[in-house]
Amino acid sequence: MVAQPYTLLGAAAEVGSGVLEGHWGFVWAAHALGLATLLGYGLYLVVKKPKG
Amino acid sequence: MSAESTKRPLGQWLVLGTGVTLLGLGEYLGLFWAPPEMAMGDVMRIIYVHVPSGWLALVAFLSTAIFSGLYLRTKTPRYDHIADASAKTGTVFNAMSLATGMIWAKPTWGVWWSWDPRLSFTLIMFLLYVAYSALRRFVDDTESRARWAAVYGIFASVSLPLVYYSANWFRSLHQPHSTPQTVDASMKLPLRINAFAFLFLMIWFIWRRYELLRADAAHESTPPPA
Repeated sequence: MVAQPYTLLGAAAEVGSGVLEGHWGFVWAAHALGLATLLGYGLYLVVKKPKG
Repeated sequence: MSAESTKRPLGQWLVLGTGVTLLGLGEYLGLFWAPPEMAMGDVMRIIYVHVPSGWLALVAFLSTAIFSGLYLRTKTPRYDHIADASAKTGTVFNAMSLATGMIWAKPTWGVWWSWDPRLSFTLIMFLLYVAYSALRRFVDDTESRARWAAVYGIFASVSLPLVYYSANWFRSLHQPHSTPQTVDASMKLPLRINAFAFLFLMIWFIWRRYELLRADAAHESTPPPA
């Protein structure tokens, strides 16, 4: 397996253009989505106030 | 926030801090240290976020079933709050598992979604627990809500073994369970670290959510001013 060079810009371009050969775009997308979900839910629980 | 909950910030900070630290380490090892997989290449690195989210969704929903049973047995409101907090947190992990699975499916299967047994049962499980939260909103009386939710929470747990074993029981696009014997040590390490990171974060989410639900319940039970 030859290592594939990648950049954040290239990863975003891969996802945006639907180019399937460069797999790092999918890897970044999945990890970013997962981390954003954890961060978002955590922040929601921090700022959410109980009723009343 | 009640006085009781403010007594425990250190415990919450420890749980959250451990979860975030492990997550940082697991993500670094999974993205940069672990080798690419022989057949899938680098896209296999999605496993380090997809699989822990799937595992922890099952753990959270199992917690819902256990505390639902405890509520029916004891009628203690605290158990109802923990069951509710677990269901809501499990739904978030379940959604994450579905979304990251779809991102993994596209480059490996060529499609974002397939009505394959594992995927279908996982989607059904997600909808069952969305319905659990919806059910709670439709019942005003506190005791009836807790009782109906507990019965439903136990019923919905039927989906857990179907999801867990579906890739082994049925012919599935989804790969069968990996075991420690079938995964290389260099891949097991980041997977395990991220699984523990997600576990600590799940405990923190349930804990915070439980406090909010308990405060809501205290407000509901307070009679309006005359």
